[in-house]
Amino acid sequence: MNVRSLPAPLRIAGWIAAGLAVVVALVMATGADFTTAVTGWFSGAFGNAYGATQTLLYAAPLVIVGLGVAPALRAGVISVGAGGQMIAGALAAATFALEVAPGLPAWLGLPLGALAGIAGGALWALAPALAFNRLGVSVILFTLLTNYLAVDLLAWLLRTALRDPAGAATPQSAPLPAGYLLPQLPVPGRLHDAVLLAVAGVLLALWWGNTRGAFLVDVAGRRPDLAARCGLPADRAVVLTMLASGAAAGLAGWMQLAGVDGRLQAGGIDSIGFAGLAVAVLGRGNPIGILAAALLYASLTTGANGLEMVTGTTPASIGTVAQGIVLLSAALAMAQRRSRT
Amino acid sequence: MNGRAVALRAACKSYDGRRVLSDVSLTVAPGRIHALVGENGAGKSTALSMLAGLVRPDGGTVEIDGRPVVLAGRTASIAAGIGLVPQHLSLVLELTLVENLALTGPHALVRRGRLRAALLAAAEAAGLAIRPDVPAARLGFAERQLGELAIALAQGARTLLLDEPTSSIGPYETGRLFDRLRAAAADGAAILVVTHRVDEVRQYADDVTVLSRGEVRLQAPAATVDDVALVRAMVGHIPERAPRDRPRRTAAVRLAVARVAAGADAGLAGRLNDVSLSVAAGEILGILGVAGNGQGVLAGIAAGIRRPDAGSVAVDGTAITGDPAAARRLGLAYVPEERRHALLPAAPLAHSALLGRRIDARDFARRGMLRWDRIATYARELLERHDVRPPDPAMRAEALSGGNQQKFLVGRELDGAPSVVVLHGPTQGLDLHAAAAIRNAVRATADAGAAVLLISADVDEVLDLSDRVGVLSQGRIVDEFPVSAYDRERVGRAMAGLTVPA
Amino acid sequence: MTGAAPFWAVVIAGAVPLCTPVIFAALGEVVLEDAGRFNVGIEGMMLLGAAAGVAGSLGGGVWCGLAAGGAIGAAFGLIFGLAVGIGAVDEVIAGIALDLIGVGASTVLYQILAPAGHSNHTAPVEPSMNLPLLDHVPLIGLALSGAGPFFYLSVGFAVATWWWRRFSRAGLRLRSVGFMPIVAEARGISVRRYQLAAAVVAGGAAGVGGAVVPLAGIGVFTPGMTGGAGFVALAVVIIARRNPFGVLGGAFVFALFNSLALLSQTRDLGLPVELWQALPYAATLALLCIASAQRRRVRAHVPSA
Repeated sequence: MNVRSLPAPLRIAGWIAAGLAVVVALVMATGADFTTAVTGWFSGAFGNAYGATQTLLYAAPLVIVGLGVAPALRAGVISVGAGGQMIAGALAAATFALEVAPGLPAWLGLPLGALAGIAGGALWALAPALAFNRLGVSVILFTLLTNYLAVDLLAWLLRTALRDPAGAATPQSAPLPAGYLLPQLPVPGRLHDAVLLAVAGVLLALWWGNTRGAFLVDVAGRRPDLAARCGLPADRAVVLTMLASGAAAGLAGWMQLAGVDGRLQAGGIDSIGFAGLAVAVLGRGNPIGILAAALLYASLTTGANGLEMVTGTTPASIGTVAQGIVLLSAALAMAQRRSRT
Repeated sequence: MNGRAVALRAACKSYDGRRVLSDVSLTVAPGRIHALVGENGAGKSTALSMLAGLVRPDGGTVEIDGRPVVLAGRTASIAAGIGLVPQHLSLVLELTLVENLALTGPHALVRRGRLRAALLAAAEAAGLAIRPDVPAARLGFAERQLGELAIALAQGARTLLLDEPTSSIGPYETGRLFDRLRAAAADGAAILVVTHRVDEVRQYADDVTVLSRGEVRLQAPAATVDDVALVRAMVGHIPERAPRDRPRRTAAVRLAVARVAAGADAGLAGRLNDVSLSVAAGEILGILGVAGNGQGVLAGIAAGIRRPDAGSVAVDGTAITGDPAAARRLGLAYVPEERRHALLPAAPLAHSALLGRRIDARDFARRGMLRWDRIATYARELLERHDVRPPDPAMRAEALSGGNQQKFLVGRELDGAPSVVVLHGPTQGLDLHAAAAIRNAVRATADAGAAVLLISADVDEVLDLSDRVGVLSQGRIVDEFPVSAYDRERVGRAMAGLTVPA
Repeated sequence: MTGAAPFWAVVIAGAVPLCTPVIFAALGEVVLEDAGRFNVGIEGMMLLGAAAGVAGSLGGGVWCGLAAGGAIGAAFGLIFGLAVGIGAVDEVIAGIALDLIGVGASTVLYQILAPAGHSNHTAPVEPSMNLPLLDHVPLIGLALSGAGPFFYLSVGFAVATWWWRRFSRAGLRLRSVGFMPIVAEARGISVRRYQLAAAVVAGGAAGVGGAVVPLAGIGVFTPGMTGGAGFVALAVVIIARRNPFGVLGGAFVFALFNSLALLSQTRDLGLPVELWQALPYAATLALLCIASAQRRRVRAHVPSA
């Protein structure tokens, strides 16, 4: 049986399985035996109700960020700014909730908070797009650097204008007014309503993927002259797709704020930007694929957490290692197909 | 020290079953400059590559000093004293001439002083003035050319092969280059110049060989041949008879190209200096010219794809200069020389069908989503109407033969009553049936009221289709006349770049 | 103005050790970009270098730690080079994957070395190097006399890189591979081999740069301790137009702002602490924009082939 003649998803799954085998080997190197490694991982990710809801909780913003970054990827723009855009979105939403209109009821507070998040993220993504179009600055570098700027901006505002009047050891804002908090779903563990937004996002992306706009964005990435002739010049494609990715990340930031944290908190840039891009790559731009990849990635994190609790010796950050290995394996699988022709 | 005579003896070469060279013999003798002339695709670059040792002949031999040799590669030919100045130069532009020399030199350490001295000595001996320590990117085209020549000489070349050396330089530098070449030949070097610029040959060549479609059409001392004979040999033939008269239509101008100039600072092969033309409704204007005179640039500008350095383009009175979307909206159809630029090769034909002027069609979408069933039906109908085989909209464009791809592309563009049609080399490389089908489609479109600009190297085709004919040479339309006024001598001289009697 | 001079001397003295990681990583990236590639995974390699550096130092002393950092960086550089060169993976995707692996694996390594609950071993650090003669040089004397061997090593590396790029045939060949790979291949230079070698060198340099971060100071690893130095190095390479001495300058500017940020934590410098902390990145970003804009203007005027 010729390996190369297998259909793509099977082949990619094969490579990913090989990558996961490497991860398991690493886990065993840290002192766990094979069965504990595998069962610990599964139980952490899906095994019990708590684990499963955690996985869904991690997956939801990842789905949204991945969906947001996919069109830009099609247009040939690689953006890893989701971390900074999430912070910008959360900042905008928190500022609106705490300073502008704190007393709104939930049916206003939630959508407006979400809109503020979207606006904040989109604005944060506009700068790299313009810098690329006008000055030719690499989007990757611009977004990487502005991620750090967002962290500092957040820290400063948390210490000054948005500081929690009740005072606290760690920098944080006052809790969000009740009208801005997302209700929780009736499941064990914390799972807020807005995870359903991830599902809505997948449906929206499925619709958009079939439109003329998506078609032209694809063409803009491959034959910019042809796309320009059909009405989508390259620089407009860059701005629009970057705005979309920022909006999505900003929405995810609001989700985190209104559904999990309940207040604005300081924090570093985690790897959400990289993970979101990885998920879009793994899903090959297909919304269902992105959903599956996000669930996989989230399970890698929660599984690793579970594993740490079970073994005590395996650190949870092996989840991130697994994410990287899975990305590399899948990329190798996908590149093989290209080089076949 | 004399150069060595290099020669091809009955050389043959085929690529993928296509005959590129058939039984070609020519000799480059020491002390003489040999011009190898022909159009694009005539096989001259292949012949040159054989002499340079880059390509082995399938049949026949390469000879040095009368003895057959097998050159294993560039290293072998450099050792044999054969210097090559390729068309698309093999200089690394970000490095200086000295550094380029060091790149393939034998020393692991770069001693700029020693290399510079060697380079300058070789240059001086040939009368070349070069700047050895300037990055090649900042040198003008002519300087780069001379720099490559100096590098070849510094590597010990006594036989020089130059591929289209004047394609990117201006008249003054061309003159200087020819001076240097004549001096080198007088000094004993054997020189071969590959070119399509017929008008220059007389300035330097001692011997001339004309290649057309891989065969030697003419071979003689340069002094015994005139320019028109050269063009005739290159182009195949310039027909004798005047085509039948077409009824002249006086109608509104639909395509207006005004004083367009391009490529001035980028040194593109075939600069446009001051091109103006206009095409009326129902009219076909054919542009003739030896390849390499900026036809592609002109086509792109006329279609709104490319922004000219100066001048403007308008369709039905509305400017479309450098605005491809506006051109499309005004109904402009464009068939470029390279199919790949107008199709998605790896995508299904249905996708490429959508990328014409039907991109905005209402009935192709419902609630925003594209209706691929309808698009596929449209694509199939296009394919069948234009006899594309196989008429399968799900097939990838690159899986079709060149002729079928072209039929599809032309069909797509001519669909839906375009206002203006710009075609560049629409039947190049196609079989007779496909070519005839396309010509019929073009004629029908003109009859329906479109203004057609046809840029082609196929003289027969242009004469067959056009109402008026223009000749593009040296960046200008040097002659323009109704097709009934066609005169063989006149066209030959115009294409050869000679002044046309008023 | 007697108060001002010592202030800036202190700032500069603080900046000098902060340059070193960026210098190492950026010089490695110069070599890689000469070959025509771009390594987004540089941050992950630096983090791995930092963790391995601490591990190596705990085992065999500070120089062993530096070597360990370099070795693991080179190994991951090799993975990058193979994935992109032979596996045909897009270099950005491969870089992102290596960033994820690096971030995770460095923390794993740290948690294995120093599991929670055990006492934190501090690894041996850079030996101090006192050159009291230099103390008297105005403004930078404090910096030069107090800078450790790592800094001078990095400067030496810069000089060596400059010399190699300019005076060795291999350096010219490497650059031709990056500039015009088709021409290079046609002239007999193996593009694949040069790119792979460059990837290994770049990874190793990033690893060493990462190892310097803990080993020049605190002697322990904290997750994420490189703080974006790798990404800054990428920007510095562009700003400096791949000139090794420009890299020194760019790294120093970044470190200067970093030093000010550190200082602002202990004394009031007028502006909020977070602004000082953001300034290194903002300044790098601003320089990057200026450099890109300039390159665009220049490119428009160069006659293209």
